Amino acid sequence: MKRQILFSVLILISILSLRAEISINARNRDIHSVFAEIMHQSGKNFVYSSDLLKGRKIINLNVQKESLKNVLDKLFAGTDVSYYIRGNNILLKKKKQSSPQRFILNGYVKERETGEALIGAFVIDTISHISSSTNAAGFYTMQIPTGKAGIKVLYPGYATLRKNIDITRNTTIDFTLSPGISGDGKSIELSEVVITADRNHTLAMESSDVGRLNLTRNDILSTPTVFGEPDVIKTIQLQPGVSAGVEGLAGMYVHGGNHDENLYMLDNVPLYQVNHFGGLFSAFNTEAIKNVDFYKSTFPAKYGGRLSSILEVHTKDGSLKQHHGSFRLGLTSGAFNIDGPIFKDKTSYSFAIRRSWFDLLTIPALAIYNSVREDKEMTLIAGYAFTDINLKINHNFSERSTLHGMFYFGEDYLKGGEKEKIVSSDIDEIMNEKNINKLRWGNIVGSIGWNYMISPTLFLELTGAASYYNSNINQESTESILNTSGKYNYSNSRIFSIRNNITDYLGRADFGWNPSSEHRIQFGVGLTYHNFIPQDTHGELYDMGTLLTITNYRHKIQALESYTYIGDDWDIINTVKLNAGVRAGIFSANGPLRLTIEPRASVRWKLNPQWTLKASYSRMGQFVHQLTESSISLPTDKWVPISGTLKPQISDKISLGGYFDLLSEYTFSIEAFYKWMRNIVDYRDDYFIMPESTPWDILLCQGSGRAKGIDFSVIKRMGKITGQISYSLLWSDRQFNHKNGGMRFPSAYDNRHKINITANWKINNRWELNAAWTGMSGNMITLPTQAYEILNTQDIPYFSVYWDKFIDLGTKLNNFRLPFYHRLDVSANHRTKHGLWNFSLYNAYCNMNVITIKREISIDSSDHTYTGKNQYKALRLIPLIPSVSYTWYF
Amino acid sequence: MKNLNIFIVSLLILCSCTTDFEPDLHSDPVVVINVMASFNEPIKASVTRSIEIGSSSENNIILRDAIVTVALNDGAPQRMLFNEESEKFESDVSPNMGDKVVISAVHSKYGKAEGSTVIPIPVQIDHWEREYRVMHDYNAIMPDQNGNIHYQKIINFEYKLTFTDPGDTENYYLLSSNMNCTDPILEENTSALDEIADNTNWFYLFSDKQISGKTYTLTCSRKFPTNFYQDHYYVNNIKLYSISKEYYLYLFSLFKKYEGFNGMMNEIGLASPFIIYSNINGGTEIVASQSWSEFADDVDSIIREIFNIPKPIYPDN
Repeated sequence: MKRQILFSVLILISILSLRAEISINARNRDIHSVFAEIMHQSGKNFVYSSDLLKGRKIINLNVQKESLKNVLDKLFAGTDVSYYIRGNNILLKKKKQSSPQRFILNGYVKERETGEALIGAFVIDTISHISSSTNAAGFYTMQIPTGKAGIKVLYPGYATLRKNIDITRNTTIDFTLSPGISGDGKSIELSEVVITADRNHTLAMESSDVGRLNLTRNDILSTPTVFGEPDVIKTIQLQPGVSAGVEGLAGMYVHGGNHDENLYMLDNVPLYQVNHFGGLFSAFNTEAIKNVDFYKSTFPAKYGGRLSSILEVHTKDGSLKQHHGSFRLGLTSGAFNIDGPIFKDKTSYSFAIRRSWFDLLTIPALAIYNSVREDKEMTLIAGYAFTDINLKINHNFSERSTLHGMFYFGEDYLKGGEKEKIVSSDIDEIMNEKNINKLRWGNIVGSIGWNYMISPTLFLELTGAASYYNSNINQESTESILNTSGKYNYSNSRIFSIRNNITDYLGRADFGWNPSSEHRIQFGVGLTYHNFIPQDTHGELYDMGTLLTITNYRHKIQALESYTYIGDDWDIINTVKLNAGVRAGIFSANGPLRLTIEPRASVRWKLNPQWTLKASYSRMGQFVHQLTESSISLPTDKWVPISGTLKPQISDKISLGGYFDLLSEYTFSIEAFYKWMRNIVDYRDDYFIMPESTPWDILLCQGSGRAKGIDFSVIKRMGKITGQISYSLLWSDRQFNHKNGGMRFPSAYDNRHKINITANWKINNRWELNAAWTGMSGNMITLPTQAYEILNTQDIPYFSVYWDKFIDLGTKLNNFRLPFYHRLDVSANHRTKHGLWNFSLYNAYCNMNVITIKREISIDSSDHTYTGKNQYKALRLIPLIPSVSYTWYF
Repeated sequence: MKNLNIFIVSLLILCSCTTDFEPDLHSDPVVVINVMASFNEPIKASVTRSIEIGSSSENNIILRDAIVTVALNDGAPQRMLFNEESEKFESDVSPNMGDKVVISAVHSKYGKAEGSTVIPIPVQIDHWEREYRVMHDYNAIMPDQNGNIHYQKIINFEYKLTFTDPGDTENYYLLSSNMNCTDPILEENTSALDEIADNTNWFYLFSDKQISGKTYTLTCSRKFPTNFYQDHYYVNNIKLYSISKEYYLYLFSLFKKYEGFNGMMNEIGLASPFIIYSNINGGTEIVASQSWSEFADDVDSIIREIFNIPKPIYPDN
């Protein structure tokens, strides 16, 4: 009972003490003196840590006859100090920070004029520093704290959009951007300083990716190229760490990798044949391109299947608002492009066609030649053309659901030969002779995709596609003599064809999930059925119109490839970001089931607004490879899967990057890498003496490779003159048990030093000058050093080599580096009211670079005594090529 | 296909040029042994050295002072002597069918090289048949005095030749002829691309892979136009060589490097580097062997009878 009485008294005293009236009028007084007065009037003591009141020495407080609680509430209002009254003590503590509530902000980023989704646009809250980027559908989602948000939307070539908003609940906002600089001759807004976003700068400073590049159509258009034909691969060839291979061709050798180690994707569908005209032009029509992503060091878990790089080309969706298009005519090709709404704001289309017109020149030239030649009955046939067609249809069911269909057709066609017809009425006979060769090669791709926002934080991309790659060589040789009754007096004909093709059917589901503002998770699955026919030959031999022999050989391999992946882009703290994931691939062809587990991780540490450091590790696996016996891309090259005893090709790559932003105008970057390659595939040294019927996996051997190097670049992003200077240092080698005697040798494109300088000068609203200079160490080639006399007997068959009686002695592979390669390309763009003139000079100072060296041994011989001269001949390719094109916009 | 090749090469030539080039590359010469051993014929060896490409000095490549030996069936080596006239090392050793021949050359400056071969068994042409047909030659027009056009005649000879593969071991063949032969086994080493690149060969390399132990019939043909060389004596012939495996691989690699599709790429310097097969340890080139059987058909009288052409006074063939 006594305890209860005592407890009640204490509570009463406490209540009374809180109710004790306190009066203080303090103006700019030291807080300790205010505490002393409160202690005096209330009879209580303050208990607190000495550093709690740092920076709060002087206060103002005016209370008259108020309770202790009210006085303390007023005293600590708006501060992070809380108080508790325990008996005779007032305990002061720092308030616990409670996380503000977060809400989802999502929507689409679109172009204002056309309503087309913008892929890879950055959406940043400048207050919370939380950011997001748009996916392939132009959709972004982010979780930001309640209250005021300062949203900034950036996209290259477009004026940056800024918008202040209050976030009090989950919010959907679509942002529309206007072009700051236009490549289509419209809406040109040129001022002294054009403030536009540079996504590559943002990628360098904000993302955790090392060696990632984003290109828009305007970037490609402003790169001078051969024949003035804008080309995405030629633009990428100017990047550090990328070698072009043989001059003028659209080869791509990334960080010491091989030509078949690049994954080219057109709207999420892999392409096998990416060249026209042996690689002089790429298969991607710039007029149809919206956006290109290129990865060379770190690879998101979403991508796989090649060791060295990923090039993802997104084609235009088409305007939802109005029809417009263009027509371009150049020296080598013409292109037509049109896009617009089918149903306004709902359904759009985009159609582009490009065709070379060399054959339009050759047709009259051949007609003249055939008419003036003496042998009137003989007709010479020759021609070449390439065509590509892109069609895309996009339909928005709702803000949450979009359906798109894509069709691509790309083909090269080459023919040559002659035919003759002689009608002899006097002897009643008709003679026909024909010898014609035709080559066709290219891709056909069709795909359908559905983008669906399952919830504000979960997005789905479904893709189904079929692709067909085909290379077909036909030879027809006929000689016949018919009498007037149509019967053969004599006939001999031969039809021969070689085909190699691949048919793929693929399906994939890619999810983007943002469970919180710190995590952006991507996961998905995919399945591809491959039908490889590396060789399909068919021959028919006729005699007197009767089928004499028929030969057929067909090699077919079916394969199933599947994969799954998951990756998280995680903002650990404001300055540190981690992107980690894993991809698992399974491949089944002839032979055992092959599995690859490919972990990926990259981390970004933003030291301050100017400095960013990055590190990454990527493992990539590859299940298919291209067999080529030449150093240029040919339609006869075959893609084949790993089979038999061959294992998947694997690469492990570590990269380190440092990025520095100077005055928001210059971006400096330095990226170092080391890449190990295992199970890489090449022909054995002795493959060419194996019988023709030998299975290809027996002709091949697997080995290892290494590549290491540093890429440095400085980019000027603003002002009338923009551009980039880059330097690459590279070492790359290979080792195979069955090549080069098992000894390590440099890879063919071990271009030790490479310098690229690109500049773009916007003189005024109408004129723009572009220049690109490339200088690099030459390619490595195998150059014989000794020659020897060939076996000489009267019975030996005749070979063309007997002209010089000497053949090359085998030597170490890639033992010689070609001379330093350098070239300057310049172009000028002149905009008119409705169009754009492009004048360009490829190889402006006409330095014909050496592309290969061959031995031409024209030895003076007499009784086995040979007087040698300088017998090496350098083949130099491509002089200065001027070109002009005009694009009419409507 | 030749027109197509010309088209492609012309495009390259249009925008390319070749210039002399002097790379700073040096290497040491190696011993080169060339031997073609045949059944029951004395063995001769050409022993030379390789030369440095691009060297401007005079090069006498014959290694007269080398010590060259021949050994049969792992027996004692016999010294071969240099013959100044033929510029070859010669011996009186004549191998039999199935003999193993080892040739060794030692030179004080260029070291030792050695190669071996086994003399193959010749395969006879067991049987042959001939047919011929007379046709108009549309490439040969002859107007008469009235301006009327007449076509000259052409004779097409066609042969069926039968031989039997021994079937006991791996056999390799070389068919050499002045006729054009078309047969699936003759094309076993011609890739589809070679087929397209050039389809006119006058020799054919093949193995017994498809015909081991079987009797096989080949088809060959030859056309004679009216305006042939009237002073020549015409014989259609075929030599069917049985060749050693090393010689087969040697010829095969020569064909791959210098002929067909790869030959075309090699011509413009863009082919993969091929190394010509060699069975010489410590040096290069080939110790090869062959045996042969021959078929010859005298068609001179048939041609002259059909074309009504008198026989030459001095037949030279």
